[in-house]
Amino acid sequence: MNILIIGGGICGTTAAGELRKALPDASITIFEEEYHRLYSRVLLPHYLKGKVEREKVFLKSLEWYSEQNIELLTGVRAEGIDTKNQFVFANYGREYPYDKLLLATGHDVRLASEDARGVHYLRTLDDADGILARIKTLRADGEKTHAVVYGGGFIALEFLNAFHQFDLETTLLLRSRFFSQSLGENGHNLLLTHAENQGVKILTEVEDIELVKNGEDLTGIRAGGGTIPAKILGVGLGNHLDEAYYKVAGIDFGNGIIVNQKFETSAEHVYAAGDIVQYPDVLLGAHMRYGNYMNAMMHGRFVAKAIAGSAEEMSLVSSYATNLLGKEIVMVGDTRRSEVNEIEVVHEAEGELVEVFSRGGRAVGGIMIGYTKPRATITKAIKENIRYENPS
Amino acid sequence: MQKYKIVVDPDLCIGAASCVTIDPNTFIMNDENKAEVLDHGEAQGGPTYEREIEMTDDERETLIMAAESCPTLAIFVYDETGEQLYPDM
Ligand SMILES: Cc1cc2nc3c(=O)[nH]c(=O)nc-3n(C[C@H](O)[C@H](O)[C@H](O)COP(=O)(O)OP(=O)(O)OC[C@H]3O[C@@H](n4cnc5c(N)ncnc54)[C@H](O)[C@@H]3O)c2cc1C
Ligand code: SF4
Repeated sequence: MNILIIGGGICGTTAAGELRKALPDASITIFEEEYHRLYSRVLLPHYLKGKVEREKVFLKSLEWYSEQNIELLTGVRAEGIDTKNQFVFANYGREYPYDKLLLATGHDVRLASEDARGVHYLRTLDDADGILARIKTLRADGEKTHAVVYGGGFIALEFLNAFHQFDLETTLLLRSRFFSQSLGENGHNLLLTHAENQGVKILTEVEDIELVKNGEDLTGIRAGGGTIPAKILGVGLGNHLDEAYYKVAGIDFGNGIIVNQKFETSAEHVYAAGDIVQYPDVLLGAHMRYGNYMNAMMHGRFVAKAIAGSAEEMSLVSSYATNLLGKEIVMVGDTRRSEVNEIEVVHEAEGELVEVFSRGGRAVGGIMIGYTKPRATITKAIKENIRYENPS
Repeated sequence: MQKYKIVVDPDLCIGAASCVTIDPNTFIMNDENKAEVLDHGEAQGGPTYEREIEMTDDERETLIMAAESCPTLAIFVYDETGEQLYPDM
């Protein structure tokens, strides 16, 4: 069997390893447009902060690929897919036929409307290298450096944490709330106060920004009627998904690639998994598109089983843990406020908030800020499909 | 049964809890949202980030799967001779 995998992130690479175990004779090829073997994106903030060395972010050695007889094509973009004739064409024109195709293409970042030297994103190892190089240059200039972070989601938080560590004077520009899909007023205000107490200046309801440049170099940001000095801008505006890429190939796309529980797409012999899919989560009774590591890895494991013909289905309560300048934030299950019919505050204290999200009387999600003790009990309630009972 | 040493580096642990999901017999989250190590569900001698545990081959397989699931490679597994089984590079 000839298996092609587009995307050599945690999902695609886990799938490749599992496929090798299940199908020792299959030919397995991974297309990866970055120039790196598998590394952990989750470790990028640690790398930025100097907590881990660059070499330590890699999760697989090059030898692993050859031992597993998995062909890894780095720096190669799968330019398009022909699902009728079952081949993928690479950016250098070559066509690769497949018997089974796995799309594990993840998310792209949403770009700001302008670019300049000093505007940074954080998705890839190269992005992290670029940020470190910029910081080094600015430090060499010897002036006090001002930084701006634009956005209020997970990546914006990573920028805030990193800039804080670099001792940069930072302004945060929020378009709406922190984690606007998940947090209400109280959760948002809690984080706002915490960030301000840590010395971050915050502008809210920023519709759009304009860059101020000196030649190609960023020198400031115009927003909210004023200009903020900035030599570095961290953009964390969420994801961009290239819907057209899949639709042209006849693959149904909603909020992500639509798959069934066996990770099959609408196109025959084409599977999809990881961050890119909208997956029917049986535990939650909803179609979910996640952006977290454990979920992507488990997808990789289970899509491999599905491709190899096993009927085993995945059941996982997804979770995401992060922090804002030392304040722990954990989200489990479905935390989309618009998709639930009950949100109960089960704990509230100075700097702490715990909310449980329910649908039809059953717990489907939870948010914990500054207090993560109920994590296990909330996760258990979601898993068992029951109402959350506050133990206290 | 073989003996294994399991160590969680709390500085690297970000509380993703994948390890707990996969191997709840060996890992548990503490109040600081870090993973501690259990011996077959028990915390004999109190909470700790490091333990030596006897395991069957099946149990070891689950443990390695849990370690592999850690996005920050915060879990280290050693065999009796002190050789590092995971991360294996
Ligand atoms: C800075 C950062 C911090 C994070 N922190 C956390 C965290 O603390 N906890 C957590 O749970 N999650 C975290 N995440 C999210 C987590 O990393 C993702 O959920 C996970 O990487 C998704 O895996 P994936 O394999 O589905 O997609 P990806 O990791 O995005 O991999 C997809 C790969 O496909 C490649 N690709 C796409 N299209 C093509 C094409 N046409 N041809 C060839 N290659 C292609 C891309 O280059 C990419 O390498 C973080 C992410 C980032 C960026
Ligand atoms: S998986 Fe890793 S980061 Fe997550 S809780 Fe376990 S040790 Fe910590």
